[in-house]
Amino acid sequence: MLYVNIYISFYLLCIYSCTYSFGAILYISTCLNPKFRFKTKRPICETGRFYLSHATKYPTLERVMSVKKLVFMGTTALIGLVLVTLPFMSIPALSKTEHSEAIAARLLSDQPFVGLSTTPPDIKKPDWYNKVTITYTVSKNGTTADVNEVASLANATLNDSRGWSQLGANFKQVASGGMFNLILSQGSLLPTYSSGCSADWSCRAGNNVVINTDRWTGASTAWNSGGGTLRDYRHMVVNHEVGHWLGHDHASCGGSGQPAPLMQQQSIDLMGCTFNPWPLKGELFTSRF
Amino acid sequence: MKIKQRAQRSKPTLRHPKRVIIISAVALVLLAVGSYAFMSYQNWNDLEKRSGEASAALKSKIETTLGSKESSTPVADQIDAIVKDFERKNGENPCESPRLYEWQTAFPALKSNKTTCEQKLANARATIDTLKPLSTFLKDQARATTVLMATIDATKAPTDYTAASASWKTLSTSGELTQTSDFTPISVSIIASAERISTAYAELATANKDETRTAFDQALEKLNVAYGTLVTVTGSSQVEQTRLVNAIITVYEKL
Repeated sequence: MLYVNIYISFYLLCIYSCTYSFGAILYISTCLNPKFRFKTKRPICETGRFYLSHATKYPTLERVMSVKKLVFMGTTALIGLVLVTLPFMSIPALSKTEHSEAIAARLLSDQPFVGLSTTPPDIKKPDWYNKVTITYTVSKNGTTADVNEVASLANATLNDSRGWSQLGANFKQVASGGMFNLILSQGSLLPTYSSGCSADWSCRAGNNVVINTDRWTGASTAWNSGGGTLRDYRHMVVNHEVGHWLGHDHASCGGSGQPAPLMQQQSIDLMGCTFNPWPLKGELFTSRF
Repeated sequence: MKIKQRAQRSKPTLRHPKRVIIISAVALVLLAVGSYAFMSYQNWNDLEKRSGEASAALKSKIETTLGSKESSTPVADQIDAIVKDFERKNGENPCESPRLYEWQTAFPALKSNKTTCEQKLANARATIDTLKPLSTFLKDQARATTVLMATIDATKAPTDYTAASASWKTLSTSGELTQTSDFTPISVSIIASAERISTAYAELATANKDETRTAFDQALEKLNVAYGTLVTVTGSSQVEQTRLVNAIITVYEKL
């Protein structure tokens, strides 16, 4: 912008000086020229005298001012004016290509898709994701008990934050092909799962975690006489038998009044311990995973 | 005697009214022919002027409207204004002369005048015809971007995968994704991407519900790939826009 201003100022100065030169030339060639003396009294010459008074300070000027010199000076002034004007006239004009480029740039400037974030969303892994999934099936054998009730309570027990889920396991019931089978079985049928299983108690045989229907519906004498609730017993029996499947053997009471280890046979005898349906901290290990 | 002489002198004018009529008629014919010739000249002169004006006015309008880089007015609206202005000024065929002069196109020079006019007008109309699709394209693109952006924002960090799937499904069936212009291929791509994303979210929801790690991982991978296709969509939109702009510049330079 500064250059443009300088240029315009220079241009105006040139116009002024050219006009002034022309005026001076005309004044000298007419008003001061002896051949045209009769015109000197005309108002234009009077005005010219006022503006171009300096010219009269040079007495020799009118003598040297021949017509040839006047023509030469006039032509030079005109050429100067043209030379000054030409580049100035070309400044604001854009070439065809520049116009095309400017238009193309404007037409391409409206691209709302540019800047649109197409980065995939940050999907946080759900809590279950980092846990080991242990699948199991639920069924019944020779009993009329409600298997859905067993399934519901077993799922709540196994995934309870106080239970085996503390191992980083996520227990999931599946229709078939589970890693173990939770079976609610009639007591008399328990020995069919293994010779080591008794008709009186619940049992784990291989991948079969078998809950005795009699214990499921009525807990055990020791439990009931100690004042334990049926719900706690159910938590305990499910956790205990699944504990065997996880690789735990039986444990003993650590001391009178202490919570019984989950793997203690609490159905038979508490041995001075208090009821405990959940694994103790020392029991939170497994050989399965 | 004097009276008689005077009467004899004035007789010729009165005796030959036919001559007066002929002279008048010839004068009238000459006047009519002269006027017709003058009006014809004016007509063809105007035609040349009009043909140049239509083209030059459009060129000037494009340069003043679209030549400026900084403008808050959307490009589509600027294009619409140019098109509207051109159609208002050139609704009737400006190269069409009144029937009184039309026959004169039998003269090669005048026919050439008309041909030049039609050529200039055709160039101007061609420019208008290339501007219109870009305007439609930009409007479709703006509408698509709005719905796309809304869906992307709504599913930025989803916890409910089923809802996210539904959002993308809604986008894929949205009427905002028009399929009637040069934007159609991009619309089709967006719909395809939206459907892929919707499907991926649905699978993610199922995997989450079933707590199946492998299925969850697969769905997540599918989701990332589907989002990747959106990048391709935006790229192809730019390519299409550039193609339309190049077409405009080509015809504009012929103006």
